[in-house]
Amino acid sequence: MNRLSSRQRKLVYFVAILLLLIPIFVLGRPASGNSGGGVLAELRRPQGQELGLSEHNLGRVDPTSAAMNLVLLGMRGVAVNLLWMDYIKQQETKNWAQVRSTTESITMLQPHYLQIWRYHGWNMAYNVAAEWDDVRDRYYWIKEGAKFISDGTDHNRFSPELNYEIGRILGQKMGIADEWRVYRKFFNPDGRQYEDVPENEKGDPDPRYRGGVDPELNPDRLDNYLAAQRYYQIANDLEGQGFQQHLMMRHIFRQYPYRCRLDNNGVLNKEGFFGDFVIGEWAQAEKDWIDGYGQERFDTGEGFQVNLELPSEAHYAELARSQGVEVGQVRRMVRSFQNVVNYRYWRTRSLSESEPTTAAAHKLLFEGEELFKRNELTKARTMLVEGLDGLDEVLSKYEDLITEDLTVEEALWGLMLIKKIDELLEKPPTDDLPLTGLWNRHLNDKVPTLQFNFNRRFGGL
Amino acid sequence: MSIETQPFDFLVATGQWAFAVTAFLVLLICGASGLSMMTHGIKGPLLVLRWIPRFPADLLQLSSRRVFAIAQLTFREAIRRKALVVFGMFALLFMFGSWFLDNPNERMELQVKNYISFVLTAITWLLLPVVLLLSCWGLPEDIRNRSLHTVVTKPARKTEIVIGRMLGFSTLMTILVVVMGVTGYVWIDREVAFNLTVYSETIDVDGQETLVEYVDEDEGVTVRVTADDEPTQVTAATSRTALRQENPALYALTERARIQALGRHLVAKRPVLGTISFKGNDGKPAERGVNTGDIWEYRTYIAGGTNWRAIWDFENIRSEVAEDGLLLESSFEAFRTHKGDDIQESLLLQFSLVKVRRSVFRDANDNVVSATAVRKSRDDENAFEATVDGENVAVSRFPVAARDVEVRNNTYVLISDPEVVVLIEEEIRAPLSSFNISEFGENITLLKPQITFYDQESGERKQLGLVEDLVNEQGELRVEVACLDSGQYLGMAQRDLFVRLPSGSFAVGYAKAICGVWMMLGLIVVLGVTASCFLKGPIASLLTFVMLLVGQGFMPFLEKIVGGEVEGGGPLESIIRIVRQINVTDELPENTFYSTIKGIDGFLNQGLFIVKNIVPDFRNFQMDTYVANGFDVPWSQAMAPSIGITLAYLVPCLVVAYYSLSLRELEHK
Repeated sequence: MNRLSSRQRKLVYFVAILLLLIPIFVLGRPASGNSGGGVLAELRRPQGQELGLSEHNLGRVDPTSAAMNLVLLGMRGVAVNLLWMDYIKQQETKNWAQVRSTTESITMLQPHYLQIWRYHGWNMAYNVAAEWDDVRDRYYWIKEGAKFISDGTDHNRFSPELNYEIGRILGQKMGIADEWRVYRKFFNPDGRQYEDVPENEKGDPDPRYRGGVDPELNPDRLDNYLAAQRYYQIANDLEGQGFQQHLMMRHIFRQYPYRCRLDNNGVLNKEGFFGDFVIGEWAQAEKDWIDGYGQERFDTGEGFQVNLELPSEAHYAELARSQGVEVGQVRRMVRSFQNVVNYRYWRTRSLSESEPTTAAAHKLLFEGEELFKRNELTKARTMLVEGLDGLDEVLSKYEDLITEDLTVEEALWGLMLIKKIDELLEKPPTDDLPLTGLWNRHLNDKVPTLQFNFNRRFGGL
Repeated sequence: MSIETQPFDFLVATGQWAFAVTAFLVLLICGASGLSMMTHGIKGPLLVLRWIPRFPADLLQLSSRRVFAIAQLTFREAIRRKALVVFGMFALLFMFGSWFLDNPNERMELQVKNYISFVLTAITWLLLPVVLLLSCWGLPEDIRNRSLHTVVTKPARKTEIVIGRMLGFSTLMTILVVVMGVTGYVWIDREVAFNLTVYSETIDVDGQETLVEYVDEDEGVTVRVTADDEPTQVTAATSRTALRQENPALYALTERARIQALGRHLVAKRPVLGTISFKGNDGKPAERGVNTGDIWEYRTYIAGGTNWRAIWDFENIRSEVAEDGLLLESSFEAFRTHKGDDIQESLLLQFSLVKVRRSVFRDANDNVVSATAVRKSRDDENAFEATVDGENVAVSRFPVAARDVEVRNNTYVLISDPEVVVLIEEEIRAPLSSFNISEFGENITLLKPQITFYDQESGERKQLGLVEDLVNEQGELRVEVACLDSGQYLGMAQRDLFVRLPSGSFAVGYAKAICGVWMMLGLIVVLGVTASCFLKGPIASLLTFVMLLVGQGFMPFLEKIVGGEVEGGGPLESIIRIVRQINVTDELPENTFYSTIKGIDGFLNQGLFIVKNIVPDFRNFQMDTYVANGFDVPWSQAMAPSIGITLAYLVPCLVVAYYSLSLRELEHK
């Protein structure tokens, strides 16, 4: 039985309310003037000073998103699930209009859930794009994927992962897809390699861009790999500031801005663009690879750090000594890290490509193939042989390259072209061609596969 | 887009309805008699039988004045209950709707679908709870407040109360639907007009075809005008207003192109659909094409560079051919197994127009004889004979319509008698020029009145009249579709190729879709008022909501369960499988226990069968798919079933409502 009178009870309640207000005040006091505010306000401070939890610190504040979340009264998880189920159905039934708007609704409800941005951006660029038959439509959806994630970076401006994903779509998706030649022409019609291409065959096919570039993705009119490099660099900068990425090992993640430059040079060669400009680009790429990426420090997980460019034994010894570990340990880890990112290959490749001899060899092989396609067989054969001679010279200077797929395939392709020309000219087979030793070495592994592709393209049994 | 509907046969549906309603009423009478017998003994059933004539008698003495008075009362009561607050919600949604919808798609043709779907969905889901709650709570509240006594003590009949209620709520609902529908239409029109900043249209300028390309961006407006054999003229202005001031003539031209573009986006196409069949690589008819592994089985594929063909037979085509010919619109889906020789080229396909003669044979007794048994007569080249039951009989040829024929086991057979094989003879074939497809887009082919084509057999160009030479005696035209790219596949469904008649007005198509929403809400009113006659407000709401939920969302699942297509058996069997971890594909042991379980499940399944047939199929009211995809709402496939369903529920609901209200103890709160 309660012995307190009604008035006494009210007083007790009032005191209890006052007591409860104290922790609320301590926790929730807002920041003002010189005062840092309560515990929660401290936690929400701008990024770098504390956890950066407040909405405006994470990225763009979207009133629509906030309104939706308020209206749903904490049921947004359920709503997102339902929307996602709708989305799957819409994609299955190829209802592209609603696919796009449903993704918008999902991200509106959970704008800081990074996986959603990553998944849907990737899905549009890789899966939805593949559903379309016209290459212009495919290009449109690839861009949609990149733009979608770019929108995600507005809401999550400290995410290295989202920037990495944009770089991946612009770089790898556009640069490695079967349609890469077309996509690159669409992406940057101003590229030097397209100077001779008619206006109506290059530039963004969207009528809004009038054959120019899509300003949202490529405002500086760069090649796709160099545009991707910007995003990869932002990702690296954020990662460097302490915003973690959870995609891959750190030394793999941080290589991409440097790799973009290498890939771009490689693709320029594949497009038949050679000369001093590309040689200069390779030299710059080599410098960046060695002096930039090669000097970055990475944790080994064994209590010490390494960088990938250690030119001499003295550097290994110095690195080991400075961290109090054995030289052998350092060497093992450096080797292992280098193997993962194919560090030495790219170093040698960029070094060799920045030499005029290599560029000349590539040019001869490329032009030889072009002549072959135009049925100028004798001239083509001479150029191909000269190209292979040049490549032989490069390989004898940079022996590391002889084990690398791209170089080997280029040489074998050249040999196949010569053999095909001999067959068409009804010449007897010859075994005094340059790099015949390489052919014999790969007779049972690479040659059959490559020959199959060759026959598909140029005919033959 | 997928629209899979069957034409609605009113007579068949009426027959089924009459059967179902009779069965329902008989069951109701039996149930009532049983219950009555428990209370009144042997006299019970007699009492029930005496009650039966009351409803028709009540109905015959219906007074429209009283019904109108009750409807008016209901309407006012609904207004008092702040039903119009829904307008506020609607206004809010439309004021901020564009926040959610603006620019998720940069392509207007995709974005238009979103606008239309949004409006129709918003109207439906805003009004559904209002209408449902009003209709379910009206009568129970009156009973609770005893305000119903003021009505029932007056000379108002029960039927009048029920009909008056339904009419009152329906009037309110109609006003809401009309206001919202008109607002929605204006909103769609304005949104599309506002966001149509890029268009490219060919218009007629002084008899010359002129391409007008218009781009309006933040930086300004650019207009490119290309007339025949003239260089493209590019004009730039800082804004649309500036363009109007600086170059009024060009502005007028862009406005013409703009109106044409708007008309292309907001359109109600009227398709004439054909029947589809396939021809396999072996040249034999096939029911379906190749399965490419697409999990969506709406389309089926034909292999490119082979003998695979998709075949459409269009009926009554003579009346559809206009002066300038016939428009064929197609929307096929490509499936590539390789990227192709030229990676920038879309798949290549070709139409062939074929005149076919489709015949069945009948003997002297008018019995149909399968074409496989028929041969030409030895005596007369134009006569036919067949061997029937070991005897040679003379048979005559009769034409048969495409709709009466289907493919079964690689032969064309009569749908009415699948044992009878139909003879199909190709008389003339005119292959048209090939073209590249625009996937998920519009591909329009104009069939001119005179078809010129290259005849491979003679190696000459030939000309044939579309109607005179290529349409057969039954007025049918056959279109064969071939994919010309080897190793590639072309997917198609029945609606992917149709004869396009001059488009109807978007407003009309939209109005029909709104009409669908109206009928659906009308049915909810009918069900809600009926439920409220024998249940209290919350329970009546729940019952109506469950009917809506099942009829709208779970009908396909219910159909699967009742049709025995769901693996794992009925509810009990499923529970046992889950508990005992038996895979759904594993057979259950054959013993008494499992036989009993299956028996009980069978019984429960019958219950679900009844549920499936009692709950209205609300999917029939969804017409937004048609309008959003730019089609007119067809009468036979969409409007007729909706009207049919609404009317079909009205009569039994009135009966149930009348007797429930008559039997309900109104003093009971």
